[in-house]
Amino acid sequence: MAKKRRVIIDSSAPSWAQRLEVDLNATLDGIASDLNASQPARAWVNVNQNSTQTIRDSFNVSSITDTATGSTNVNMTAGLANANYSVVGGFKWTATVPPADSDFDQSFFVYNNSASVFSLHGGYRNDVASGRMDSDLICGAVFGDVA
Amino acid sequence: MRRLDPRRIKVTNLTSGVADALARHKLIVRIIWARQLLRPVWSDLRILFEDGDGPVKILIPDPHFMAAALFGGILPPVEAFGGPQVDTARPIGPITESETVEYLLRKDVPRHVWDLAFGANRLPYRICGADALPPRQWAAGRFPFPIRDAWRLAA
Repeated sequence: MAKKRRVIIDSSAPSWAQRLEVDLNATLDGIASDLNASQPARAWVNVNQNSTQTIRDSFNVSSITDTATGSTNVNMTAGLANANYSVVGGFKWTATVPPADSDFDQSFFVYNNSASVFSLHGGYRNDVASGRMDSDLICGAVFGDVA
Repeated sequence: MRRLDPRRIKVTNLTSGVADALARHKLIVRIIWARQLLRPVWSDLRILFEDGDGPVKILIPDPHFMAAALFGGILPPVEAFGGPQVDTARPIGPITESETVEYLLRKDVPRHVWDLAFGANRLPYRICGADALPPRQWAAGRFPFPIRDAWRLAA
């Protein structure tokens, strides 16, 4: 028979939520006064494209759209002031498709679609063949002006 | 830092001053604050939609966005996106996981896909669980062969 556990709650100690309310205005003002200190990039994402695509971690992203093999569109929550921002990224070679990374070069490109959407594409190519491939690690980050 | 679980604590459980303080700041500030505070929530729900001649597209919710939606007080009404009201509109309260997916349908999927006023003769999207998706590769032969680009929505 399972033993009952007695839980003692110290009701006099302020809860995490109560402490949060006390510090809230100062925290928000601190973030607003220096956005770059809080998050240097305007948005970033780390995605696993294998299986059903998943987001490992991110900032200022509302969703990703798996558009095809090796292709991911990233939808930002707070869009930028315009579409003239910079996107950088990278991806990790996945060994299973295509068969041998010694036969192919990596092919990776990122670009901005609009003020709130950018795209990540990973693939392979050599002299005779090229194509897209899913990667278990593909990343992108955005730098630009906030709207 | 220990983060709050947005499935247990919602902005409506806190004093009204929290929602007011959040509403005074721009969306990007609220997003940074929520990311520092809230534990991410990975959703199994997916939106499958067809847009043009390409293969079916799959929208995957972001775990931090999902946490902000469940907590409430962070996101503006979905109608505010694309205009200056995105920073000035009063944030909406807590919404459920399925309501968040509907919110994303209207925010991140092209309008002609979900708005039946555009005259589609069949529903060009579905909402389903991630486990309902087929495998991305066909494992016949020596190496797996990608079949993701052949996916279509069943009629």
